Amino acid sequence: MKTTSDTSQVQLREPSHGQPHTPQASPSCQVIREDEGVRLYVSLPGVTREALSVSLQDNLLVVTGKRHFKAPGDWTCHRSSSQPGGYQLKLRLRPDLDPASIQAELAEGILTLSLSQRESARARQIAVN
Amino acid sequence: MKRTTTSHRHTMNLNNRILSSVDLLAGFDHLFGRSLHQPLRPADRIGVYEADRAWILRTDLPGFSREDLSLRFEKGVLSLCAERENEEHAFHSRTERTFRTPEHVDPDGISARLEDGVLEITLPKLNPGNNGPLEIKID
Repeated sequence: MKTTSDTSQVQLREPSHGQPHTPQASPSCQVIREDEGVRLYVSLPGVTREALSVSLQDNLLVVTGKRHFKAPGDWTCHRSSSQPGGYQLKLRLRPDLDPASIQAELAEGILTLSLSQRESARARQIAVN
Repeated sequence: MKRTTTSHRHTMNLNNRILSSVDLLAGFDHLFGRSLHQPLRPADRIGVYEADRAWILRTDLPGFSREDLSLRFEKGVLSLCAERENEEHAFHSRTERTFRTPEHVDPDGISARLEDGVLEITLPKLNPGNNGPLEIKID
């Protein structure tokens, strides 16, 4: 079992080319590598479930979250702390992870994504006759 | 799927422990003509808003629950302490921030709300009267 926040060293890596510039900030993320898969934590403060999109196509995972807060019209903003455009994260899944196994949960501004290894990629004990 | 071990979590907590003390809000500094003591790090970003009857502070605290937070106001200084234990991920497990507020904040009316990993603190503008210690309930 290995615990790391370096996504380049585990099963997830970012696409290397062809990404258009987007106004969204790249959110902080942590990857926990486990025996039979990975757990990915994405920091998305201020993002509600309704403003969150998680898609997975051709092993490309895309997380997009918009912050829903807008200051009322009678408030004067002296200093803004948030990313006005929200967040976007793009990660390429390694082929040994099963896209069909993905599970997502959003709580307290943290998105948790769980992915299992494909059955064929799991270590197995082989009986010797 | 197995979960991480306690030892892993403990290591991550130590590596990611943040202890920061931000003296005086930059927005308040600006408003009251004081100089900014030090630039805020990204983790210390504070949104400062002003309405007719209150100041509003907003800060990101992803991964913290209401029970993890302690907010205290005493003699014009607002102290926020957020500490989380037994978390799986390696985001900040502890942060401390202190803010000096304008003199005309009503300490009895201060309220706070934590939603979607964002803490919003409302400090009503009223005549000062009570400078004693005050625990603030977080809704």
